[in-house]
Amino acid sequence: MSHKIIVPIGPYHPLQEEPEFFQLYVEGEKVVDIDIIIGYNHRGIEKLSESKHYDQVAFLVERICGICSSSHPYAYCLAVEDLLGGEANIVPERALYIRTMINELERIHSHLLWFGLAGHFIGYNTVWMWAWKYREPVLDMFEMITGNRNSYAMFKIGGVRRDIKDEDIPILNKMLDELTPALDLFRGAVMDDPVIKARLKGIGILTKEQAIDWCVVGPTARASGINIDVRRDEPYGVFDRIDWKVILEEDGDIFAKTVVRILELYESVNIIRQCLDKIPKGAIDADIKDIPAGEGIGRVEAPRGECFHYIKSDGTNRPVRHKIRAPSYMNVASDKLTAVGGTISDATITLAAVDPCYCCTERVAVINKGDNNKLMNGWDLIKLSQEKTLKLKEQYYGRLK
Amino acid sequence: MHYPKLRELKEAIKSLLSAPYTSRFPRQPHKPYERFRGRPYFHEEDCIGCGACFEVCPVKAIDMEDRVEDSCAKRKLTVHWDICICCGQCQANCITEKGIVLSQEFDLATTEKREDLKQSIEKDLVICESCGKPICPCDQYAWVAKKLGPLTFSNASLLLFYLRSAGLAIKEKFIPLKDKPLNRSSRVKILCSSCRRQAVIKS
Repeated sequence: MSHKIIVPIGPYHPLQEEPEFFQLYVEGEKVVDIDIIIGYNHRGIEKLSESKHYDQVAFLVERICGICSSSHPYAYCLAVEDLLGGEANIVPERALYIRTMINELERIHSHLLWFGLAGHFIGYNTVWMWAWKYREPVLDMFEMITGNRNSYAMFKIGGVRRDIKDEDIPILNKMLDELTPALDLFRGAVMDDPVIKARLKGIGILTKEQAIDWCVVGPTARASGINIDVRRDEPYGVFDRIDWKVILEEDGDIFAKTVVRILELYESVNIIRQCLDKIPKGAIDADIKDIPAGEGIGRVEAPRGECFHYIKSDGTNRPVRHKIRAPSYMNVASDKLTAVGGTISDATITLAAVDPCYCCTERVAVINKGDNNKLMNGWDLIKLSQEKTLKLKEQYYGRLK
Repeated sequence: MHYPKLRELKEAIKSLLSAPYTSRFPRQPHKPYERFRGRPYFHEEDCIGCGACFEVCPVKAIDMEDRVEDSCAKRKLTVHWDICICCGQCQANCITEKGIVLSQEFDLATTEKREDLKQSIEKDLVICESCGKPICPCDQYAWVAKKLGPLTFSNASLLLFYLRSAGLAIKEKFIPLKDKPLNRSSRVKILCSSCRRQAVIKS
């Protein structure tokens, strides 16, 4: 008979940047099963957005996630514009270019952040420091365009809130030029280093069939060979007018996921360059006053995958229903396949490989009762220990009698 | 196998000779970019107290409080920096465009209480001479009169306020006449919208 041990990770753990709870069932070194328990970060944003004006909801959904803080407002604006008649018909040309640029800049900073964390998890702290060092100029670019490093407050229904100055465009181009050698460095570091290869190749494999069955999205799906990308399948912004390609890898392991993300960085830089070249002059906002009754959906390719927003309006100035589905909600479930079968030392990087973002994920909190498994907190453990002492005492004094 | 080792060596020598990337923050102050959105400040001379910022703030970081007492009527606008998300909506929707302006201050650290992170300004209110309820701040009336130009003469309340502030009409001591019914003569008084409607109908 095998001896099964449960290794709990979380909910509050120094390894993780957000509260989440993994229970790894371990036999020896091997992970035989995993339970993913989420719901520690539920904030009721969908309900809250029903109490705010359409203009104010953009600021609220921006705070769903600190890293995807342009994807959520973008998807929300697309949803509202969908019920108004479509983004391409309403939003001015210049605003479309600015929106596309912000979306791609966010992808760069998010992938660099993941890359740093992945390096940290496998013990390459140099990679961590360097990736985050080169993430700084990207955040500076955000500060220059939008006025903040994060939470950009840039998106509004019918346009953007701030314009890009003409004299900033050469500076932005120069910053992108300085970013490219750094990306080359990372590509070299990952592709050439034998240790990273040994550590990541063949670990946490998600085959194409499994990926389709578990509905994963974004880089996680593209690393398994599924050719999906909202930017190409249902173009928003100016993605249909720009020359770029979807990055695909076939292997489905963590190495493939890393390569997909690194090559996507190059594509993003390419897209931003083209946007800066082609950006036309004109208005940035189509002054929209009233939102008619109806419903609309918005889909955006966030750095982690497809981000989906649904809006139902009854003609007042507040939404009746706002539904959000963030990409990590689909991706996190695939840990159930990838982590099982590997060793416990590979578990952290496998769990981190989908770039989980729990702030985005937690839309509904479910409290599961009637389970035989019992979770113990610190006080439970103390009580258990005290009971054991009591039992021992009884035995001891019993024998004395 | 050799290539990464050589690159590492090159990087090591390079980083040995170069200055540290990080800055000594408190000693060497950080200067944000020109368009950085820092904490907002009310500007006493440009703010007219209309309360547009209070209406648009997505996080309700701005409070508006009207206080009517025997001798004075004041409107108090307070911005709470501990709640503020520096989105810039207040500045974008300010009707004078300079009443509340985002500064470049990013540092909100304080040794005081969190509740003390605020700035408030007070504005005198114009009061309806019939019912005694506040109409709007004096500065806003002056701003509207200035903006309307000659059209100010079409509104009795505005005209009277304008004449009084210019010293052309007698500044009477304000006594709200709550019991006195509105008559024809009350049309030449500073009235709120509902009282004016009643006065016009009754006369």
